[in-house]
Amino acid sequence: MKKLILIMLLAISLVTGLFAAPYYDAGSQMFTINAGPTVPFFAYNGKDNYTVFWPGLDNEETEKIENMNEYVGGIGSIAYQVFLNPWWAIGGELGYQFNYVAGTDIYASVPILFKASYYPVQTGRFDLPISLGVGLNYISFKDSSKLTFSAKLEVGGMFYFNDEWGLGVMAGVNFIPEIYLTDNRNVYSGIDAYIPITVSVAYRH
Amino acid sequence: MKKLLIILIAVSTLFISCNPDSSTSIIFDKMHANPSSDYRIYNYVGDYTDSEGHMNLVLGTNLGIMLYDITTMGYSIIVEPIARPLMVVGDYIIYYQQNRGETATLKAAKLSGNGLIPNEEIYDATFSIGSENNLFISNAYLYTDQSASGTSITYTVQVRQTPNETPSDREITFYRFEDDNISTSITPDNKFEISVGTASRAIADSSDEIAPYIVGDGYIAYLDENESYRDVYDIRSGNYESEIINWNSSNRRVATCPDSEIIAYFGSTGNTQVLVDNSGNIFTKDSSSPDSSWNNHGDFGSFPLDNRRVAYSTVINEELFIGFKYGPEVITINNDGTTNTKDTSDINDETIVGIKHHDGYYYVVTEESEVIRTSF
Repeated sequence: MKKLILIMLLAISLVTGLFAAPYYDAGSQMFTINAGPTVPFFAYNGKDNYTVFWPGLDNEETEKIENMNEYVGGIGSIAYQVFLNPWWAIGGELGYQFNYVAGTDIYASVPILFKASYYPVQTGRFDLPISLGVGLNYISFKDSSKLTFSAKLEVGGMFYFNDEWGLGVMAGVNFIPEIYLTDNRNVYSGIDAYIPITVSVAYRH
Repeated sequence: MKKLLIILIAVSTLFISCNPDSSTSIIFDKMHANPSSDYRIYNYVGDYTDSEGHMNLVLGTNLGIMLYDITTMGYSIIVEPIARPLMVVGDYIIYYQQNRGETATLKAAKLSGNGLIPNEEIYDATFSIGSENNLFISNAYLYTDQSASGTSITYTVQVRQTPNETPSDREITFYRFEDDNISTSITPDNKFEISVGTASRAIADSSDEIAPYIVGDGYIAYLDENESYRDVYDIRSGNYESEIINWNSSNRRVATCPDSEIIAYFGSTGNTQVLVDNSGNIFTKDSSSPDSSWNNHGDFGSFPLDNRRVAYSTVINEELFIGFKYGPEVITINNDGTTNTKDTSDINDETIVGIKHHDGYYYVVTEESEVIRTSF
């Protein structure tokens, strides 16, 4: 019963937010610090033309990849955005992500993203941003490294204690392609995807 | 907004174009090609240098063939799962595949410039023993004749139903390597040979009762049909009659545990010829004096006998490396036959299955975990 009441209150606040007057103005700024775990989602391997979802299966006799060899890691980022109008904000995000591979080795990535956020719900005390970030990502594993692309889709909720400070949770999917164009390397092309779940602290004015 | 996107795309394109494809940049394939934590490395069969000059150790694992790039120190590729690599001949890798309950297939494929094994197999031979299909390929033997003109490599595969059974009659079909002057043949006693170059040399023991067990540095050791004793011959004479050690006359029978005292190494360090048996006994001989006798240095090592089975041994830079099961020891053999041990704390108690020396480092392949780079 309590859950039902909670869901109803949340729904009411969302609907209220959708039709409420926007809180933000063009020129409003927001600075966000995010940190939390990131869970491997799936890996597409071009060489085998095969997709495996985390954590995969242990099958020693398969001819395909059935184990991602990756474990839950962490991600942290800082983001800065400026509102173009009451609903849209753009900016950038710099982050660092790591995941353990095969238990010992560390895969790391440093995304540098252009970020666009849409705020369909904004009550002044509660925001529901939907963000898309695209840009570059410097990835490394053992002695190997590569500068590639990255795209991150996120949604979450932010509660503001006052006019400036807020705390919330964001979750989404982070896609990282590894692309090779030359004939003898293109078989190594693939995509890794992760699910970052972060706690966000926001400062706005 | 549009300008920003255009700038972003332009910068990205520039970065990608300045980010050349190279083996050191491959990320995800290495991550996902890594076997799970419970993998085991069975053997180290040879080296392969890819088109970018990176030396790769060719390893056999329970998950298939794996290449370890010395330059990037990464396990780059697993190819041909269920495959067991036997040896590397130039750019070719020879391996066999056997699914449970199915006929083993001996194959060879060319390692391409980027380290991949292409799908097409240039060589395919199927072993079959009558209606049986549970083959056990017990060992692969490699003999390299450095003194002959060109490169001569003879390769022998012994096929048995079970590890302890004598070879059975078998029907083998081989196809010739068209490139690189690699040829294959079957010896009169049904042993399999691969020769590279023009100076091939056959290991052709005329007796079906004798099976070669290990070949190296000009010597061949064999077991009789009951594996009850071993003899060692110098095959460089070509007549296989120059007996070096007659283990039978030394009353060194191995009737109860055939694998426990198998000769593990033939080789030389400077003027000293070295022979090591599976229990860690070391024999040395002055190679400059053909008539000199073998000097038995006796039991060596600090491990209990039951745990001291030799997993790997080789001589690098006149140093003898012996990897024991359940614990490594690295032993230096001096020209005078005296021995010393090396600090192997880097390797801990892992079983050595191979060692490669390259650019001042020793790359120790261990069964339990991975390749360890050390300078000892």
